[in-house]
Amino acid sequence: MAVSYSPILVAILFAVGFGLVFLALAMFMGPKHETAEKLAPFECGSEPIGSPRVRFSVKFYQVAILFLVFDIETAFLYPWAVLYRKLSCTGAMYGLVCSGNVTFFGLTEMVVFLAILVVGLAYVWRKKAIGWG
Amino acid sequence: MLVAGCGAGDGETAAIRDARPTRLQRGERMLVEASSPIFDVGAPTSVLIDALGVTLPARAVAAGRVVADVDASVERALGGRHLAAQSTITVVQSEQRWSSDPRTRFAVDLFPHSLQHLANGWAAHLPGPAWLWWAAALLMAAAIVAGPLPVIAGLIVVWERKVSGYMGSRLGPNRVGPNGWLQWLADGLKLLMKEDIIPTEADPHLFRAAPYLAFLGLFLTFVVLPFSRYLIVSDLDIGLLFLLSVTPLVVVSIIMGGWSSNSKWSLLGGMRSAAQIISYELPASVALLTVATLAGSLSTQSIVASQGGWPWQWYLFHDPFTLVAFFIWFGSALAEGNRTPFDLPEAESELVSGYNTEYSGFRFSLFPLVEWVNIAVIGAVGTMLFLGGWRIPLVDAALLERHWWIDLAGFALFIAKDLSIVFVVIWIRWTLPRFRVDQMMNLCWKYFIPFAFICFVGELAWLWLVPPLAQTIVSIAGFAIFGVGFGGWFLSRVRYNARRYQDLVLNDALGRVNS
Repeated sequence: MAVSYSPILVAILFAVGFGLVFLALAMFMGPKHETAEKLAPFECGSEPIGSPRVRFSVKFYQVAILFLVFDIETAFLYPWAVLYRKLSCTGAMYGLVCSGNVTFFGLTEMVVFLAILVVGLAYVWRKKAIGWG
Repeated sequence: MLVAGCGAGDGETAAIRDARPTRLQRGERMLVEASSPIFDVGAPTSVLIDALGVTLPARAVAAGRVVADVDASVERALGGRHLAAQSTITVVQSEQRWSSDPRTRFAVDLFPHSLQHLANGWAAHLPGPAWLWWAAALLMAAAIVAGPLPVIAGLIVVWERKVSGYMGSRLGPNRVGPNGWLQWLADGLKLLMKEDIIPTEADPHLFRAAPYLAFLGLFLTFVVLPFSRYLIVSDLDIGLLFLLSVTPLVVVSIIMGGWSSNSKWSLLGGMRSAAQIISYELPASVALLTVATLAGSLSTQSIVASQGGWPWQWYLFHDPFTLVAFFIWFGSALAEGNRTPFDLPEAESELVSGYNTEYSGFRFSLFPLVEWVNIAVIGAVGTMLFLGGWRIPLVDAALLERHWWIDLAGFALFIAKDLSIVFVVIWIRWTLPRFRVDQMMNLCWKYFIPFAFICFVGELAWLWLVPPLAQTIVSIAGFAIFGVGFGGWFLSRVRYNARRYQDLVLNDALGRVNS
């Protein structure tokens, strides 16, 4: 297990290294003439008016909360989807082909799970929590 | 009482219920499960892979479970060769043997060819500590994958500029290098020589760190992308899930960059982008569930291998639900990549440049680099999940194993499919206008997500209700209608319009004589 995951660690080091090397190169090659105007936030040439840290529309937070719920549900669906063919087969599996009869088990289980999810979606839809109207 | 039915007789078959994983590198373990508690924990145990004649040292960890180790001694005994077969699995404990059902063969794959395999080979044959060779091989693998990244990004940028130029009756870049194809090199050098400005108002640490995170999210996807049968850094068991988990790292980077800039444009762009990317993450992952169900695996290589070389064996044409799922995924991928028609986060006419407004120099250029390589990643993911990946018609695993150049042809095929998707993405950018933010959110939550769920449930019912022969007929019919029929009609329209455009606009603009 750990063996096939080790390239991820190397990839992380490499990605960070790539950024570091090129940004260091840019530091050496690029000029450095800082002025107060250049370091001010860009606001189309005029003096910045007020702080950008203002209150945001609540819709953004709604989207984030709904995303959390639905994304976790989707993550739960993955292991189940992988096993779906096995769950729907009474006999042995030859690769992906079932030798026995099909069973309702896998499908019913998932339809029940999805039904709960869909009720949730319908509820937030009715409450006008989704969409940007 | 029940023991009578499952007594441990000599050579009993069907006593072994499951063995996984069956694709094993050195240092990995196979877990073998019995259908009843029959093993003697502590007694010397071994696991036989019958078709290969291979014995793995093992130990019983519970009365129903044996763990077999694929360690360096096994690799030495086999000479580090790659061995694969459909085989039954037998557990031997002192005098007793238990086998799996001969009708259920496990696809055992020992020491599959990969870059890790290469690392093991070096470590086994060359002097010096093993970990050093490991590190060297893995670093080389990372360099092979990462090295071309800026080049890929650069070439796609030049290509996009050329396409956009021609679509707008201009020529596009044509000065640097042959026909302008080295423009990216000049642009990169120019950006390296620009000043890296960090605004005084900005949070300096987050501001500096954000581009790294975007690059990381992009680069990690390359770990699991199967460019050919052997050209993959690591074929993870959870490849698809890994892909879905690392790509949203880019959104963290965008929020980080947008918020830490402490500028109104950046913050607006960052918030919009976050809302957009996380929303479209849902239909994309639900649409990909159909593929996971079909392939019965999340390993990217297994998904490619379970498709065929012919177009009607691709998952795209497998049934009507996968066809719809492909388009849902593609639309969501465009949105997650901030591409037109979903490029609101950097809507240049409204938000200057969105989340990266305050960035400059090379630190800025990492964002577009990620964005453009991401188009190639979208193409690669689409190719492997829906368009058959590197599979070549009529070529089976045995033939691939014998000739290395067939594998190279598979790689070329993969790249060709990838580039066709990249072209479509560029084409869409210069054809469609941008969505409004409410249209974009409604499209996701009220159309894409419900339809993705319908596709998923439909797919499940399809697998369960439709007999295999009818499934094959539907795939071929789907390819004939949508691939040949609709695709052919569409291409003929494109050809007609391109010619008309050439005659009416382009030749005129270039001062050529109409043909």
